[in-house]
Amino acid sequence: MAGVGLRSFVATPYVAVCAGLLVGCAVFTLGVSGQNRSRIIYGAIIASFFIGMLRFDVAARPNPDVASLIGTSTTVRGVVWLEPTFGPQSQTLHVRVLSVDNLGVAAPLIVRAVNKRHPVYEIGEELILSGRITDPTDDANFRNNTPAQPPVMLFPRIKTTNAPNRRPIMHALVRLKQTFGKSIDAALPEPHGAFLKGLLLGERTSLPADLLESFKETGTAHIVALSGYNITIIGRSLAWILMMLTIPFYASFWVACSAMALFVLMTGASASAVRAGIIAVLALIAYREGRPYQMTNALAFAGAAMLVFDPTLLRFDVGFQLSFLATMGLVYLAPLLEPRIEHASDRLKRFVGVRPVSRALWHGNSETTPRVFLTVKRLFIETLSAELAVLPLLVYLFGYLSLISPFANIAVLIAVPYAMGTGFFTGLAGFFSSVLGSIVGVASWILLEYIMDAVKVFASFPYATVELGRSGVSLILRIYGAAAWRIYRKTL
Amino acid sequence: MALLAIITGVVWYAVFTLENGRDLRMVVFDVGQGDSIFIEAPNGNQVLIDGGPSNAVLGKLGGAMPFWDRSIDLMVLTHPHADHIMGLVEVLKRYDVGMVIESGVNYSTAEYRAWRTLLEQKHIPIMIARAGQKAHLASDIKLTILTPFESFVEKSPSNVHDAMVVSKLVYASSSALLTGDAEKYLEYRLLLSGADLRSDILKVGHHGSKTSTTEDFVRAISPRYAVISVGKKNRYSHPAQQTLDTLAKFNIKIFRIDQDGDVEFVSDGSRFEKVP
Repeated sequence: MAGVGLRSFVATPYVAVCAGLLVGCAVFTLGVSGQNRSRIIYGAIIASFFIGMLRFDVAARPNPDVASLIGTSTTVRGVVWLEPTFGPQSQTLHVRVLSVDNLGVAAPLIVRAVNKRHPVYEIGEELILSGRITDPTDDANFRNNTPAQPPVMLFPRIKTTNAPNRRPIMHALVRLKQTFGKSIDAALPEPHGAFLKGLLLGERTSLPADLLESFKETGTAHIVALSGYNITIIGRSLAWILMMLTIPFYASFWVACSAMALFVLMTGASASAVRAGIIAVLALIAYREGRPYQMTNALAFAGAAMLVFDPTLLRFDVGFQLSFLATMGLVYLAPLLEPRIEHASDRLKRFVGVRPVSRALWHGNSETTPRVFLTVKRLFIETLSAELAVLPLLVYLFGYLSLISPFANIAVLIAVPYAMGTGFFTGLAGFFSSVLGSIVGVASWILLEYIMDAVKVFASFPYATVELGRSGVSLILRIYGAAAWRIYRKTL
Repeated sequence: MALLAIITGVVWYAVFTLENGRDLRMVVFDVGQGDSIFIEAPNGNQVLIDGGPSNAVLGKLGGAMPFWDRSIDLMVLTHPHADHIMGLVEVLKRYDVGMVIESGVNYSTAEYRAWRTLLEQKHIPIMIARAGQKAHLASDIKLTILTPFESFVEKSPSNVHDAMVVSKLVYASSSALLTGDAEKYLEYRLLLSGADLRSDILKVGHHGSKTSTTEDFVRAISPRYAVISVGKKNRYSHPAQQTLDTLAKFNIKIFRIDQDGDVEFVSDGSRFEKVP
């Protein structure tokens, strides 16, 4: 990982990389032959560092065909490779090119076509597109820190070839997902339906823009993205249903695992979905083995596995960076924060003069404390630690800081698992009958309405967000440095 | 207990939403650069005129209707341009629609084909609009069709705006003129037809473009309120200054969805008033 990271910032000559790789291998073999454990480990580290660099080189080499195509008007034959995404007025197709002007293309080449909403194209369909191919960096919305984007055709003329579907399995999966989406649409009005699909499937394209803006302002937009959390909830509830139907645990475990894998495929196997899927399956395995789930290991494993496939993620995929930082915050910061927060709340209470009864409430032995209270406390510590971890990057990227975010997250996260659970059942019930779907839908409507209202209320507070600009990053890092120094001194 | 409380809450919510309707309600939805108008009679009959350029209308309907209500009694397509039909196609997919009124004009776009296919699939009755038709929403509330004067079925006029379905919503002595994208030519034909144009509200034609809203037309309507449905920073620079000047000359209060958001009016039968 470190190799990939360094290579993405610094161009390194091949000779140096190869020499480094050789040194690493030499140390490793020396270690093996000399039975020296530390040499084996150091050798492996050095070698994998340089393998990482090589891997990035292979991925970052530009596709020779793309540059020659840009700016030309051409006719392209290709297959709709991913599920088309819909904006309010447009649909975007990722087309894998088979031939350009009747000349075959050797390397896999993707063209992104932006088209009107109608007619609707499907994944796996073979199309002939004619139009001008343009450089994606010409787009005004294009951000500089994204990896090489496929060239774009804006509103090309499109003909279908009536060839048999080229991705039949994916087509069937996407169809299944769409049927699920339709049964949600039938049970819930908008924007509740779109929001539920965001929660369950991570689709946020059909969310109203002002609602999405409120989510962003309150730092709660992560709930409408596909995360390990979403997929774990879906996998668990599926396993739960199967076990209710008296199917043995072992079988339901495998069904749930394969369902999650299919689910990742269904959502287009995007980087975030794959990462979420790996984490969710690991969580389920840990659950089966009855072993405490080691987040750090799962995360390192998921990260390394993904970078093997696409090393550009580390540097360019904001979602990848954010979710890794957030999980690291949960793992490393939460245990540091917990005693401090209890300490602070004690002092606050002594100051206000609350009786020891509420102290018992806060410290909570589970028999006397209401569960809601414990949940709120846990959520507060978790969101705060995740947030502290991602804060510098967020401020660097977007230039503002959401002050309301920890509170908004608590208010929202209490309801999210229930909204997802009832929503999932609403979708399933809709498969059998639309009336049944609507009846179950009432429960999820109430929960969804609550979450959206809460988010809107929190977003409307004055000073909910503060503009900092990029210079805010150094300030935050300095505060972090000071805090780290204090904690370090205390532990000495 | 919690379940009981929730059920009680839902029932009370239902009672309140149903009790609320004593007035005729008309909302011009903020759907960006495009038209979409929702009408609800006190007896619960609902009409949707055009759907705007996107699926935004779905969220608007979700807010304007109670959450269990998935039916619309009447849908009017003024003309098949994308900024009027796109949202209606999405609504057709999700809602039970009782009847559709349109001009039946020939127009070959993918959206219009999708619209026709959906109407056929769902067996929704289509009424071809002609001047003089009246849709009775309640005993004293009607939607009167003012144009087209002749049949446009399977015809392809050079300007599809001339095959516009213009209508007038009348509740006792209050009324609103809903012009769609009607242009000067149609405005003058309406003036010459001798139709009763006087209205409290004018839905300004063609997003305030200078192709519409002639002085003579506005004088004949003499509205108190005008609503312009335009998107923020639209690429046509609608509304035209000329149109705004014409309306200002008659001291008409102007509402714009790009500045005011959804614009809602209610009428108890005597006159329409803007809901703040």
